[in-house]
Amino acid sequence: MEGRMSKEQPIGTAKGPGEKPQEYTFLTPDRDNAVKVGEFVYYQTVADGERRDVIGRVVQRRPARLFPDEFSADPQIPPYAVAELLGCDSTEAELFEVTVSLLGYFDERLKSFVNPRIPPRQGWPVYLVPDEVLTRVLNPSSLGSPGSAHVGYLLSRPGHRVPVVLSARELVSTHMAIIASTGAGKSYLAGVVIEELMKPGNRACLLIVDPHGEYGTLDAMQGLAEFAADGYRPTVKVITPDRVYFRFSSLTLGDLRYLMSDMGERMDYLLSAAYRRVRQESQATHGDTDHWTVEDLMNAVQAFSREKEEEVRGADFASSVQALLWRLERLSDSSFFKPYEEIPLDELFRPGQCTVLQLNETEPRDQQVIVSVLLRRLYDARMATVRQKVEPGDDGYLPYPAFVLLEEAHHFAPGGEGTERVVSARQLKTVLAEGRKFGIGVGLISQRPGKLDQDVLSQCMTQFILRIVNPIDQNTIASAVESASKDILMELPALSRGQAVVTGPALNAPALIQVRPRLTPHGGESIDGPKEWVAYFAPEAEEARRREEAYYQPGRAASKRFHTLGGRSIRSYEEIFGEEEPREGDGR
Amino acid sequence: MLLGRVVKSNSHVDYVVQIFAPGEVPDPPRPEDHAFGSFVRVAVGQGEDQLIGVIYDTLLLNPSYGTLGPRLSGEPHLTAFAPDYVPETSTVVGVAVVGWRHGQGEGAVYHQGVPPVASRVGAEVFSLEEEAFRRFHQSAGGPRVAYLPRLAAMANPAMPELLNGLLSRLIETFPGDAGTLSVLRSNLDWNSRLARK
Repeated sequence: MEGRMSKEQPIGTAKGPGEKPQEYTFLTPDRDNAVKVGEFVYYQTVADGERRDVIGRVVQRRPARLFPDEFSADPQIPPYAVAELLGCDSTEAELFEVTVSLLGYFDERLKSFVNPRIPPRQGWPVYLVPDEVLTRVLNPSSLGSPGSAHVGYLLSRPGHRVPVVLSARELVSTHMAIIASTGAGKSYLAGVVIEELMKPGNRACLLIVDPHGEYGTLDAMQGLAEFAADGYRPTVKVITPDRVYFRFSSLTLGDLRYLMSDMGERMDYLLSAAYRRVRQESQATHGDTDHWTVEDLMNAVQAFSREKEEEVRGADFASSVQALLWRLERLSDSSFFKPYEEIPLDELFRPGQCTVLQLNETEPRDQQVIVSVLLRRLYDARMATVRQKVEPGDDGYLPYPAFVLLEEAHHFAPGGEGTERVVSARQLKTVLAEGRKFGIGVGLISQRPGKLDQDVLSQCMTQFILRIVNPIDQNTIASAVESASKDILMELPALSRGQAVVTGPALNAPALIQVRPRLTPHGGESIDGPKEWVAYFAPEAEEARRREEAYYQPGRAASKRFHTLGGRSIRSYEEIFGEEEPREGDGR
Repeated sequence: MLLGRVVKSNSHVDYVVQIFAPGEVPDPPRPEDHAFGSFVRVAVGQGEDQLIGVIYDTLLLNPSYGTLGPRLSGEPHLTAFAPDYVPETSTVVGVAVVGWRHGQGEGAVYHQGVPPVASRVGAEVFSLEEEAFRRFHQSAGGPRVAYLPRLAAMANPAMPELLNGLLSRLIETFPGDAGTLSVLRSNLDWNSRLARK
């Protein structure tokens, strides 16, 4: 890099070391408004026997000299006009003191920054890092190369002059998180990341857990030329809630307890014993512990309670058994569980395939259990495959890494003391901690990092942080994100829509970026309320309603659910909750 | 108009000018011609360069005042008994030099600031014409009073009023820049009237 950048004109003069050891300050008139916060600058020094360009990031800019306040007394008269009256050249008047956080010189061999720990001396010239140098040192991958993910452009260089290209390998292997307030563009950014992972250079094996059904528009990838090469085209498989199902025996005892959270101690005792029994019997007869159904479990509950009643005189499990059986039956009615069938893993996970698991219209607790079961199956399969405990053709053989993207992650791993009780949080922590060894990457997307478990967040090494206004959320990020320096986090409330801080091993240095435009349509737009309300009163809409009302027939399907009492429409308990009203003595 | 002559200086930019008395010149200056805050030009040698200054102080000199000794004749009888007696009273003004002019007429170039050369004792002092006043304060971007901070720093209790009057005159001369000049005038007013209290 020697001498490569020194042809530039200096933009400022070093003043000396800053308040912190890794900081220095320089003074600049900044006539061209080039020294923005987040901008990259460098000075030259000799380190390790070579001339080095030591790069740093601007973290603060404060005025060192300003016009007197009195010059701004008239809003129509700019202060520099008054200064000019007194013979001051306005372009020379303002002076800024800029604080720079040192990154170091870029070591081509190590492909990372090395801090020489030599702050500039007073008077040393400071230069702006040229676009092409910044592109080379900031990005671990070049644009369009295999294993790259082009997510946007450096914010401080307008005109898309410096593309920000992440290492897709680091992105998926060391986990990532996208954090933003509502409306800051997190789903949009997630879409960009997904697009990059599905490009021919990556061909990812990707599963998106989509609680709001926002990612269905990604199927447009299949028809776009940007995603096609050498006969490859990504497959986008959208799995709607009615097609999501698992084998009942894939539930752990913890899952069952979680799904039936209102169990008493006796019910829990019966369930644990019966659960162990069906697994033992399955092992004895089929050679694995998962070959049983909910009926087997219910039978085991009844058998075990009978045995106990015979064993212990006076024991009466009748009410608890009834209540437990009722709960198990209700659980077995769920469309998510089937006796022996489940979505094959290789249907969900396949290289070049983006599977969108839509979980809208699904109860939050069910969503948590589905995610928990999915992550567990994936983890077990990858562990068994890597350790060569399964062979091609076996159930649970998955011979390629996989990446799972979780929307509304705070829902699956909520923070606070209750997090251990949430089944998906436990499983998520296991995958985040151990998944890297087995090629499982996780991406978390959340609009409330304050509500997200901090251990979970801190495991995500690459962070995309968009606009965050809530101070609790900001503090959570500051404490959980190790690689993000505090100064760059100060920018969070000031970011506009589509602007993000990217930090972590997928990029050589933290950077403020403008997210690139999506190639596929965005599915997460907010609904335009006023527009739709006005449309309600459009003549054609009113006419349509009049026609509808003209054909109204009392007693037809839609109105059956309601009956009127005293002029008010009310619904029965059964209609609301889909079950009979509970009665006393159910063993609680 | 010819106002007087330089009689001494207190510094490179602070001259004392004696105003011509009636009888010394055919058309002696009236008091309003050398009023407080008036701009003047002072000849420099025999060349075309002239210093430009502003009258910031006036002193009335009367050597007879304080001479309380016996006198043979009273004031009315002096003409008869001592015809060579000339009254030595005079008016002197302080002129702060704020710039200089190089050349004359349309080709003259005006500079604000401290002139590199000084005038001399006996140099003639004239009123600065209205057009010259305008050109002296005219710059490419509008009016300019670069000498103002130096004037404001002079130890003279009447200086705030002088500067106020000067800026008011500039506002009349440059009505298009009245807003900018008013900000400066208000600022000076505030500082002189309130900030010093």
